[in-house]
Amino acid sequence: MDSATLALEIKKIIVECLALEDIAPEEIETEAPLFVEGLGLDSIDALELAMALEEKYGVTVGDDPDENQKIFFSVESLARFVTEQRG
Amino acid sequence: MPTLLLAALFREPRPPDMAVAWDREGVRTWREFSEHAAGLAGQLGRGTSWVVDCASSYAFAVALFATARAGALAWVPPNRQPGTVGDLAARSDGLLSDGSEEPGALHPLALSAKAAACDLPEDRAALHLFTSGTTGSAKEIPKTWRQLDEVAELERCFGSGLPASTRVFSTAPHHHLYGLLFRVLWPLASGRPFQAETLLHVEELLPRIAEGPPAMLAATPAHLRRITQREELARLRGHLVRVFSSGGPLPASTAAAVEIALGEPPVEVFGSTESGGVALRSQRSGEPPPSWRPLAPVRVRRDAETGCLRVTSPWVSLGAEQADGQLELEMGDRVEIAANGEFRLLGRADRVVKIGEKRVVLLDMESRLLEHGFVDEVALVDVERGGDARVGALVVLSAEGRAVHEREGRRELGRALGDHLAPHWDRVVLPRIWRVVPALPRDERGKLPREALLAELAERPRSPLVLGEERAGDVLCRELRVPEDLAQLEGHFPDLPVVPGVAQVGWALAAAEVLLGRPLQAHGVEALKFKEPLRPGTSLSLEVEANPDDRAKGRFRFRCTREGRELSSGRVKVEP
Repeated sequence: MDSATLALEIKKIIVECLALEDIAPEEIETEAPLFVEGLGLDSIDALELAMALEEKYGVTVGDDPDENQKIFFSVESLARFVTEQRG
Repeated sequence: MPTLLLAALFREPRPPDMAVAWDREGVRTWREFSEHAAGLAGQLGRGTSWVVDCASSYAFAVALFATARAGALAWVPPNRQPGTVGDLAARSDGLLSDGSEEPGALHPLALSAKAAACDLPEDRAALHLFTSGTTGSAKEIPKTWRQLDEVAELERCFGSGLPASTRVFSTAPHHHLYGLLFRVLWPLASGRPFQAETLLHVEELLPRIAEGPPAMLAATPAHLRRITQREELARLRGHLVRVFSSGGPLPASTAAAVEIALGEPPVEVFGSTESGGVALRSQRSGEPPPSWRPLAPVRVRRDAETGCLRVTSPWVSLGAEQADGQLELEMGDRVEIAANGEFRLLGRADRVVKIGEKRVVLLDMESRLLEHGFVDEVALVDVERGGDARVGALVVLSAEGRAVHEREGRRELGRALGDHLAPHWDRVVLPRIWRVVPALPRDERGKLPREALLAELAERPRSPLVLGEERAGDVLCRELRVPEDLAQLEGHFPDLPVVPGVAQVGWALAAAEVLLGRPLQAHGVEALKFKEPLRPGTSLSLEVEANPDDRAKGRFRFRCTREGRELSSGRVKVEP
């Protein structure tokens, strides 16, 4: 799967699993911040999203808070993380 | 190590190398803690009130006890939003923060000084917490050290099962009373080390619990629910020796999952910022939900008029003074009390709801929204989305608001109104669902029934029902039915809604993803025709086709028909 397709798939997961309204997956900017600014997700969303990614791709975030903050920064960083984890 | 009353924390020497907390720098000892507190106290001069806003619970504890040592008052903002902290800081003598860029802010760990023994005043307000009152804006809740000595009762109830080396973890923020007591003050008074850093992800938390001596966890229901969904939890059996939950109702399924994994159900704590801890209970799987048992010094009664719980205890910090000097507080929870004093909660009497573990007064948020030029009328309600409580908003727009809504859509509208609220509330409590309505759904008495609000907020289907699907070579054919309450319905006449063309293209895209076996993004549509309006409640056939030539060119064709007549058709460009 190429990176654009993966990014789109992640956007769909974000919209569906977080029950976001008024935004289509395609409208989420790949490089924009997901939390606080940008899409404006919150702490409950972060927990939910981590679970959804594990379910879909079998990837688990690690135990380093700084690293996780980088992973959850944007769709782009999440896609990179999924790609690296799946090898 | 005997448990100390908080006012006596610095009275007698404690073992200098006793672990108080640990953070990225490693273990923080009692010597470091007391010297940091004395060092900061020495910088506070004649200031009488200081705002404490820290990311680290260790720095937070240093700042609290430094202000106490300096004879000043600590203001603890209800959240860490710059707007909230800044407003308070402007009214105070200064800001004590481990991450602020404000000029003049003091870093709690900047200086150390030799800490002389001292007693802290027991009955003078040591800190002010803030909570959302039932009316008006955030309410200041003064707390004396004596009112926080609830931690001594917690120690009496649970201390024997928790050796001094037990490490204390928490997902509750230290600026709320639950986190303040369980993750900072109880560990400090009892000599157990606490985790200074706040960990957002359960993946960060569980490995840290697993390594090292046994641990206890003071969690919020939202975190606990996620924690029980991880298999690692069962491996912590015998290691995670006690789990507490507070800040909102704990689902029975979560309590049962903790019990199955760890052998013991979590201890739920019921209380509020004003009352302190009130009662405990543990839900056991296979048993009916237990009543709440008041903590030993707590007296409860039911207000005959309101049916609400009235609480008297040494920890209540606002209320009517009783003969013994203790205060009695009426809580907003309707209650049924048994002869033995145990009680059941029957729901809130006011419009205060919990989102995440944060209390939010819907009335306050409504007032704030009414200040915005887009809003004529608004009603907020708590609604469940994906297992979590969220705030939903019904808005009647002003002319200005309607113009924005028509021009930029509901998302931009919701974003503008959310931005208006954001400086004052935690992001997690901001409205998540917005509905623009022509009028609020009032009943004949002019009231807004909860059911009517929830009906307006109900998730409307965004896709048609798929009644059948057939695939033959390059063609996929779906029999569809348009729901009556499809989310995207539009039309110039309210009684004649139609399905917009863009929605039909979206349905075609979804079918084409099945046909081509990959996610697709539409890059454009060619030869698009809409021949007849498509109405809700009707059926149609949708055909998508991509022959090898189409695939090579990165496109597919679609056609919607009913009884042989074409409704719409076109070619959609996608990435090859």
